[in-house]
Amino acid sequence: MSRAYRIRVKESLKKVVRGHDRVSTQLEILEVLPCEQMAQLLEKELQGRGFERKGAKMQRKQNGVTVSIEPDTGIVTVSAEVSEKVALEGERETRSYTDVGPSAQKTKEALREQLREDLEKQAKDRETQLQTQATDRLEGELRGLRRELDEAVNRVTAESLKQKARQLGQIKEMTEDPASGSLTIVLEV
Amino acid sequence: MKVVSRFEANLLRVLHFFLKQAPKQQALPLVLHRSVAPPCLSRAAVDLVKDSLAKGSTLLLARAGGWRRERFVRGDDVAEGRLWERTPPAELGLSFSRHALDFLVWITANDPADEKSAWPPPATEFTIGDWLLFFYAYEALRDTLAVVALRNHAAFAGNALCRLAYVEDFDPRQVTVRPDFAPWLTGAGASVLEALQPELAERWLCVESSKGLIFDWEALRSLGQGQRLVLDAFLQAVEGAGRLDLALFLLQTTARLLTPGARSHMWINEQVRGAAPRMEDRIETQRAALAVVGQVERFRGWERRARGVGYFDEGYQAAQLIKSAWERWVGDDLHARAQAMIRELDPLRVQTEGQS
Repeated sequence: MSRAYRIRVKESLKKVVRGHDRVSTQLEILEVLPCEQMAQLLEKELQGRGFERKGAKMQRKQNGVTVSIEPDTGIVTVSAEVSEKVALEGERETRSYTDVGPSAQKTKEALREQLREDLEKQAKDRETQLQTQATDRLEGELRGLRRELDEAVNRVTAESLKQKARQLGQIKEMTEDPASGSLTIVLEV
Repeated sequence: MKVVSRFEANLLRVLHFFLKQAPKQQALPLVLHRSVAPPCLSRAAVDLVKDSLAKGSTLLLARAGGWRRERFVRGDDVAEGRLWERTPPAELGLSFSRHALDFLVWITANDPADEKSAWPPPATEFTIGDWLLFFYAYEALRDTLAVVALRNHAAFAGNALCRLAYVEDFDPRQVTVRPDFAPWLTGAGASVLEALQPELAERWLCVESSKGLIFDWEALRSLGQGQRLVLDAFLQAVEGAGRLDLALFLLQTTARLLTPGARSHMWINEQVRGAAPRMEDRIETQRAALAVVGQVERFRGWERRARGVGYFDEGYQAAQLIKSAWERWVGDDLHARAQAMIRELDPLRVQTEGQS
C-alpha cells in the first residue's frame, strides 16, 4: 500500500528594504554680480537657514528629507529615504509519495524555491510601502521648501543689488519692504 | 509608350502611392504581397521612376508650402516670395541615389512587416532625395501594419525628417539614435524644410493637443522625452547653422496652444498628474509633458539676442526676421504664460521675481 509523506520546509529572509524618492531643479538667479560672488551670497543665505557645507554642496536634513544645493550651479536636490530591517519567515508543506531519494529532494527544492519567492514578494511589498512613505514625506516638504527657496533667492538678489549699487555710486536712500519683497534704491552716480 | 513588366508596374504603383498619386486601396496589397524581384529593372522602368520622383516630389513640396509667399534667410539677407522665387530653381534640384531604387524594389518584393527581410544599407550613403522619398513612404504607410517594422530601419529611425514630423511614433526607450539635422539646414534640404513649415506646425499642434487625452503616465513621459530628444537636436542644429527661421513653425505652434485660456490640464490631465508612484517620476512626467512649452524660453533668448544685432552687423536681416516673428506671435505674452504653466507644474521651480 502506498503512503503519502508530508514534506515541510522552512525559510527565512532578513534584509534591509528601502524606499527612496528625489526631485531636482535649478535655481534661476539673476546674475547681478559675477557668478562666484552670487554663489557666495547664496551660500551665506543658506547657512543662515541651517544648511551646512558638505563638499561642493550645502546640505540640510530635516524631517527625514535631505536638501542639497550647489551654490555654484544652483542645482537643488531634495531626497527622502526610508529604510527598515525586515525579518521574514515562512513555512510550506506538501505531500509526496516518498520522503527519501532524489524525487523527494527535488520536491523539497521546488517547495523551498516557492517559499523564497513568496518571502521576496513580501519584502518587495514592504519596499513599495516604504516607497510610498518616502514619496509622501517628500511631497509634504516640497511646498514649504519652495516658499523658503523663493525667499532665499529674493534675499540673495536683493543683497546683490545693494552691492552692485554701492559699486555704481553713492546710495542716497534704500527702502525695503519685507512683506512684499520690494526693494527701492536711490543712487547718486 | 513605355512597356514595363508586371513587377515594374507594381513598383511604379507603389511609388505613385508614396507620392500621393495613387489610392491606398490599390497600392497597399502590392506592398504587403511578396513577389520575386527581377535581377534588374528595364530602362523604361528606371526612366519612369526618375520621372515620377522628379515631378512627384516637386509637386508635393510645392503644394505643402512651397507656393506660399514667405520670408526666409538667405546668407546675410532675407529673401521673400515663393520657394522657387527665393531660390533659383537650379539650386532646388533633389538628387536620388541607387538606394532609392533599391528601396522601391525591396518594398515591392517583400512584406515590410516581415522582420526577416532585411534591407537597409548604411545611412551615410543616402542623399536628401532618398531621405525625402523615405519620408513620403513613411507618411503613406503610417497607419498600416507595415510601418511597425519600418520604424526600426535606419532609413526611418535615422531619418531626421520622419523624427521631426512624427515624433510620437518613435519611442525614445527603443529609438535612441539622435537625429542628424545638418543635411536639412543647407541647400536643397533647407528648401524642403521651408516648404514643409505649415505641415510641421500642424503635426506638432496635433501632438500637443492630444497630450491631455493620454491617461498613461509612462506613455506621456515617453512622448515628452522623445520630443525633447528631437527638439534638442533640431534646435541646436538650427542655432549652429544660423537658420533659426527654420524653427519658427514651433513658435507658431506654441502661439496657437498658449492662448489666454490655456491651462495645464490640456497637457497633463488630473488623473495622470499624480499617477506615478514616485515623485521623481511625477516631476519628470510633468516636465516631459511641457517639452514644447519649455522651448519658449529658448525662443525668447533668440529674440533678446536679435535685439542686440545692429544695422551694420552681420545677420541684421535674419535678426529682424526673428524679431518680427516674435512680435507677430506676441512672444512676451507667450513667454509669461509658458513660465506660469511650468511654475505651476514644477513644485520646486524658483526664479527671481521679474524674470518671467
